[in-house]
Amino acid sequence: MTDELVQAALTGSGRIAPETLQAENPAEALGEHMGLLLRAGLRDVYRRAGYVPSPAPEPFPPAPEAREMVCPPLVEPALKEMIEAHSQLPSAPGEALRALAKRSWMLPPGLLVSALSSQPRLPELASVLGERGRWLAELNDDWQWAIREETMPEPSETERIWMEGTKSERVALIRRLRQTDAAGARERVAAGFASEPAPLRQDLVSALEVNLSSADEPFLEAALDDRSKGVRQAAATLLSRLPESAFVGRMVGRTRKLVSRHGTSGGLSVQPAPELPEDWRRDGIGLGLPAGADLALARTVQVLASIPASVLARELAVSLEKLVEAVERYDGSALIESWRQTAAPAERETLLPLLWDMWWAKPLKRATGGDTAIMLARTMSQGVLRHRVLRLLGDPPPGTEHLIVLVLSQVGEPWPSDISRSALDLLGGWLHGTRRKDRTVGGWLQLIEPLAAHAAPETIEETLELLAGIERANVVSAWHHEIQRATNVLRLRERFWNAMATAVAESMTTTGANDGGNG
Amino acid sequence: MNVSADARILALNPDEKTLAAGEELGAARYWQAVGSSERVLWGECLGSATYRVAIDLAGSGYRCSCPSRKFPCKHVVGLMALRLREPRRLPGAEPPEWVASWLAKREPKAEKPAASRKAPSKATRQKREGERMQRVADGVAGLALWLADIERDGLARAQTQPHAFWERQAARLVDAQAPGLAARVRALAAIPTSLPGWPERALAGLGRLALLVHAFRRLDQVDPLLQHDVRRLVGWTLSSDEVKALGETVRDYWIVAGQVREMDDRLITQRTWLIGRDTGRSALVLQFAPVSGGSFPYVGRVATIQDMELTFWPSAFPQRARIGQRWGHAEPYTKFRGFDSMDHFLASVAEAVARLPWHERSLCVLNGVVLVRAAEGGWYVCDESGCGLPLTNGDQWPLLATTGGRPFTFIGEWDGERLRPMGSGAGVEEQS
Repeated sequence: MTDELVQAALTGSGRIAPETLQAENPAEALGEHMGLLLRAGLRDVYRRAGYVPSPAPEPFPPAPEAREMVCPPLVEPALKEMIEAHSQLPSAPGEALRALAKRSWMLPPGLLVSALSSQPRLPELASVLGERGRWLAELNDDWQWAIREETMPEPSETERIWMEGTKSERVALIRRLRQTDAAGARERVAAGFASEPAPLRQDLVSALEVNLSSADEPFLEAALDDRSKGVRQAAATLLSRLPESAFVGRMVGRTRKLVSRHGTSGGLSVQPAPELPEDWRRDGIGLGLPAGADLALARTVQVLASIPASVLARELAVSLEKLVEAVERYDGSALIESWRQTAAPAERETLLPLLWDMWWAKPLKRATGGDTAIMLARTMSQGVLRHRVLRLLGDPPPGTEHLIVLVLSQVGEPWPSDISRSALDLLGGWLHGTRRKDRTVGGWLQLIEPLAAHAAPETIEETLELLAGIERANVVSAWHHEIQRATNVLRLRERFWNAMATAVAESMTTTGANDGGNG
Repeated sequence: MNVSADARILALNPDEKTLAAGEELGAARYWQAVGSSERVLWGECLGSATYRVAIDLAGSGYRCSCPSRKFPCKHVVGLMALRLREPRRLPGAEPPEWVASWLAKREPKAEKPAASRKAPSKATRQKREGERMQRVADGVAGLALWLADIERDGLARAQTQPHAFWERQAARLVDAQAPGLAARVRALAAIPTSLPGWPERALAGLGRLALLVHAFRRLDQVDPLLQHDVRRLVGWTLSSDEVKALGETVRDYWIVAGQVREMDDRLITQRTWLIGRDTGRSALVLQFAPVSGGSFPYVGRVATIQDMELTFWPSAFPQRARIGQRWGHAEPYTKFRGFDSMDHFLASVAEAVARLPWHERSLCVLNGVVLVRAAEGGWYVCDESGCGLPLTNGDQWPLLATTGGRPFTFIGEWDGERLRPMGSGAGVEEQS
């Protein structure tokens, strides 16, 4: 609200009646021409001297007493660096938070805000928030994600998204609804399905993979008659994951004509499929085959890919090993991917390593690049993956450096020591060979970045020494910036892990001292 | 051993970065060919190259062969840190040739200044002072007319004036050797005209400036201590010797309570607030550095305490001070003694403003307050009575995370309208 003095000052003393300023005009007594400004100055002095605080808003409920152990203060500076290093090293915050979680140490209060505000969000945060972090997240709407499961939208919001949302919002809604009401979500999709554009129909069908069950079969079976090729393919993909479906039954029937056992060893003979009957076409056989492929053989592979490997092995009365052996010679990325997706959890430990070995037998001939290998690595257990990756690092197929770097990205972070040391051996071998001008050393310089980001803490010093050796050798001056960057990343990680090691040692000493006292 | 706060290192007057880097170099593995005599320390520091370093203990001088433009450089601080940490590593010996020749060159130089520098005579000084006073008086007369014009034509018109309107007046005041007044005019130009409350803020600023003009024109009628303030606010500066001669010197264990830095397009200003443990007095160490580079001489780390001598600028409300001699080491310290209620704190502000009407900032240490947030997003600290003081705009969530919504000792800077937290948790001690 503007008062009289401010009004007069805004207007100007030259434009207001003289008597307005005469009352209490200090300028008269002081003989100045700045009466109004002097009054304003005096009032400001009075106001500063007589400041009166206002009633404050309601206080927050105090944070509950922390029951968990907070990360020791000596780790805090290095931990802060790791949390804030996201742009330099995206895996740094996750690595640090997992290390804390492993020791059951919570984030110190001073780092909660930067961790909760980190973009992208840190999924590892929930386990290290502690009482103080959960209390804080409760008070800020932007941080609720860290303490609550993703909630279903209100019914009115569901309708609004479904009627007015963008394509991706509508598909995301169906995926979410499938988690709690699979049938309701399918009925919602089915209701106006025919009038939706083809790309959306395809995505909506794919969204039914969440909580897929035999109840979805009639809808998917009907989708095989869709006018869009993409929708038909999506429906066929999902039907192939339902072992009891009529679709899989039809494919098994076709297989009997294409695959036969020979001899007593359990070997299989696979025949090409020269014909493409109309009912095969309806089930998606012949769709999406690459130009120039042996179409007859490719159709057979498509039929095999449409049946879960375990179902196929049972029907053919062979082991999974024999089944994989029989198809090994084909360019089977689609087959591997399909069997990977349809593998029941109980079969994964057996089937996935077989598929992995099948893929790595001819890695450079696979049409899909490293995607299949990455997907296999993601689905395999860390133990099996580690074993397979170690084998690769020990005897890498020539020309597969970039593929090996890709699958290394799927090994848990930080890498175990044996994997780190094998990668270091490869890089060290590269340096040794390059010095001798050996042209067969391969492209192992690509390992610098993943080694810097993921090397086991106990191998960080060795990695730094090797990078310094590469710099000193001056054999790859174009890589100077990459080596510098990797060195900085390693030093950042080294500071954190050294601080953790010291803190762990101190906490053990304290525990030991306490134990001694109690004993 | 932390030696960074040792008086013998601080006597070298390093900036903070150099102090930290030098402390790291104070380990034997970085040094070779080290030695000492009663007069001098020397050694060779092994870094990306080998640098020869010597420190003249008697003449308070040093030299280093490194190319750094910082004086002292980290190598000099490192050598002194090594001596403090591991004195046995510097065995007594005859200085090598390069040290001896450097010392020999220093001898005449040490005596030269006293002999060659001739202080101006009293008459010359009085004449110069008289000339400056006249120039400032002329500048102030011009400022008074300019203010009267603004008053007559109205703030609404001033609001539409281009930046040059304010800048021209500021430049005239700089020419008149009244930089303090010029800074106030520039500050008026910096108040955003588009924000609500501009008329009130601009009028308050113009009013304070008018009061200062009024006081300067009657300087001989003003209280003698307040005269120092008026001269300082207009733009007179005091040399270190003048501050020492005119101001009060207080030895105490001084606690570094907080530190803030502000930057405009010319200068970085650093304000370090200290509290005397025994006297309870607050002091402000004000430092400036150019935006283009430069750093601040070491004052002290927040939440530490050290036995120091502070000399206050002469003032009706002495607050600004400079650090003199130090004794011993700085130690961590978090037991801040603050006001138990807002009323008591605001009463102390009222006293400061009563003694010095242009008093701008106060150190605010409040015990047992909690942090609260209004629905519209503003933050407050509030005491037991439920009254609150608003905080500066900014993210106070980190402070809430640290204090957990429980009573704590708040340390901040009060500018008459808002509190600015200092240290973001440093020195903020949760109370059980």
